[in-house]
Amino acid sequence: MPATTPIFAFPYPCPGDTVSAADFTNLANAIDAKLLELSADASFALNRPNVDLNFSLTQVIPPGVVTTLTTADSTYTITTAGVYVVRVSVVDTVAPPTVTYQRAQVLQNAVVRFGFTQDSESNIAVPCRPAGVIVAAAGDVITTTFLYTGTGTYTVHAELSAKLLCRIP
Amino acid sequence: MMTLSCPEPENYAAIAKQLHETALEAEARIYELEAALRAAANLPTIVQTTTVLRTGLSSGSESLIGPAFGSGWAETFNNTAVDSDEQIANNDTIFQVLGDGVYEVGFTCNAIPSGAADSNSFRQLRIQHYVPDPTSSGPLQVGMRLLDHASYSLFESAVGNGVDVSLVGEFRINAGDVIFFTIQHNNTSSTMNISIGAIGWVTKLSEATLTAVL
Repeated sequence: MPATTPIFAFPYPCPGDTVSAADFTNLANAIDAKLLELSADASFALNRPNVDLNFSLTQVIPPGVVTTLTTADSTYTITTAGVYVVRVSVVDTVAPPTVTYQRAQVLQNAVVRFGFTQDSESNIAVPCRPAGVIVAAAGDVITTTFLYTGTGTYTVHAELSAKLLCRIP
Repeated sequence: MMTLSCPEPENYAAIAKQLHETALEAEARIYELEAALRAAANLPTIVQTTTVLRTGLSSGSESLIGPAFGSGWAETFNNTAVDSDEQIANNDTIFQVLGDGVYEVGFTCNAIPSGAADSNSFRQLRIQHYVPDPTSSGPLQVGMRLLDHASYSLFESAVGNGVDVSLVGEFRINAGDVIFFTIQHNNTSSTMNISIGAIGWVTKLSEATLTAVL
């Protein structure tokens, strides 16, 4: 009666069994299948699904309105379930005449996770750079909202990166 | 290196035993390899989120915040051997379990005045790395030595939203060391609250020792 190893269930014949070529084949195939699994892990460790969206298309933001950035490369859809460190930088392309307050918030499926605030009393448009962790499922959508107080419109672009820390078992 | 001998005509009877030994040896080697690869693919990570509004943080002094010290919290993610009821900050158990290493530590929160907001008042968030005093029998902070910290200061615009703060730092931490998340502010017109949903996390990037120089 063939038996199996305790962890990976590699099959082997027991004393008294009639040994055939199939016993060699079965053991070899079981080891081969396990090595194929490890190969997938090795590929994953070396090629993490990290993303760096460097310069989104610009978007015009009105004052006093929480506005979701929607232009190309300002959002990201998670491809592999895992824990990610997400960093966003919302940068002025054309600054408004006056700006006193800025806030960028990072959302997961439209739920705010974290943000970053700039107090701009000197009317200097400075980047808002929220960075935080998100536990995400595949298909989750990462977006950013931007809010400012001041006058005139504010044209911004976003830089978004997501670094995978670990998979979800 | 695994060595596999070939059966000869005179020991065919031992083929079953040899296949058994081969299977066990392959399993042992692959088990070690799998553990190493899984560790590389799944960095040990703990994420915790506060579930209670933190209130009463006075101006002019540093307050412990986050998933520790007076806040209710929930474990959002944990793929380590650390018990789920251990807080990642203000606790020397975390790095006893996770061991020496290079860690990324982060914290995000919304700090909002409980009453009047002083325009342009500061909010300084810090992640502090301390070495405990093994001779101290008092609270964790007593006798501790500050080894490293990351900090960021932001300012209040008094538009009613408070200040969203986020901070990430890398630290070389030894087993038994402690991290703290703290905030200090100078909003003298009212105390500070930390909104529900503050997130703290710890992830082990690598072991502490450099095994090869390229």
